[in-house]
Amino acid sequence: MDNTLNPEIKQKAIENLILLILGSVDKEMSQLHLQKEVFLLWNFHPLIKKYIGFIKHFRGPFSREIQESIFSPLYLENDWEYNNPSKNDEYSGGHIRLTKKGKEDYSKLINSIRENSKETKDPDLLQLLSGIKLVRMLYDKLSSEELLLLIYYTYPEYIQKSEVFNQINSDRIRIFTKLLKEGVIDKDRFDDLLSTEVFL
Amino acid sequence: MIECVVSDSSFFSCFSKDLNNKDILYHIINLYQFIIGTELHREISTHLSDEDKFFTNVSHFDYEYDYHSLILPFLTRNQKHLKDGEYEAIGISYFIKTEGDILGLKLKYLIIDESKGRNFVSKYFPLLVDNLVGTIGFIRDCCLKDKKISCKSALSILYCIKKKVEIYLEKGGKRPCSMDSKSYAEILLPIIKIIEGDPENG
Repeated sequence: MDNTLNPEIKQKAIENLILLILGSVDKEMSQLHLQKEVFLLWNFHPLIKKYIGFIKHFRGPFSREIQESIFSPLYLENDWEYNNPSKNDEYSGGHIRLTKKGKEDYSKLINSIRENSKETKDPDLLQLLSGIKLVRMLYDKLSSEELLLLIYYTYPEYIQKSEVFNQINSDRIRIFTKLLKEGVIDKDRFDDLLSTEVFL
Repeated sequence: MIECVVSDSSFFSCFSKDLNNKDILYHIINLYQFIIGTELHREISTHLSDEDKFFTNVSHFDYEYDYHSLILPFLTRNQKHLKDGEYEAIGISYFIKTEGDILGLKLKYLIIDESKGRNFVSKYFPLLVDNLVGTIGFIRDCCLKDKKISCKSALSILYCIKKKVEIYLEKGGKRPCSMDSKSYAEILLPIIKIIEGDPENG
């Protein structure tokens, strides 16, 4: 993360990123999915690394900047609303969805990015938009447990401070078998996951 | 709208290494707008010594986007170490397909030869399936569909590949142009037959 950046610019960028992700698919998103999908985008696009940091946390890779901006946005106030998780929901961290104002702001932002990119011929932000579409297409369909477990097995260094890894990992055979049966992972990845040993 | 072709490294090495005929490669990359990413750029630089000639005809996304990391949770450990440009090619193709029109780009072909990569596209990127071809299928479409090369030229390339594959099938070694006995029988020979039978093949 670039700490020399103007805090105002940085905050606007983070809130715009959240807006772009939430607006990319017209349905609510769990806080856990948002955090993990931003993490994958953070690894993909050099721009995001300038604004956001990730730490090892109770539920895998976690960005404080994202969490604070979800609950206390400074510039995009009332663009999204948060709903608490239900009683039996241990992992999602609640759900976020765009409001009517948020959807309008999303349309304005996306149009301005596209117009600007067309004029400058710079693909940088378009690459980000494409990456956002991709992660939402691939990962939204996973449950919180499935997403967390795949992230833990892909980035085992983020298990270190986990409060939930042992609990989810004890159910890994059922979870990975379900992912295989549903065609989310192929047989090679299934065998690979089962033969991998990761520890807290 | 510029029609683009994105490929993994196997397409380029088929001509430059396996057939040892860079002239064919340079001819083909002049016919379409080829786009490569940073990973493939690095890889190709190592085996195309006269790279200036190559890179003047190929567009390069000169940004460090790590497409690989977007799909990493679905890849096996072996695949994770295969930074051979295959997943970068898929990522670039997805980008062109979803946002390329803003930059005046339209995806024409995604060329991948290895079945692992092709299966990956079919499973996770249904949007790209209609654009997916292998090197042999690309030569076929280049000739019969797009009329960019004559049947005579297409057949001369395919006969060269056929000869190399036959030597490989007899003596072993490295698979030329990612071909094996199955793709030889089920893809190469039937495509040669189709082009030989085309009315334009006088």
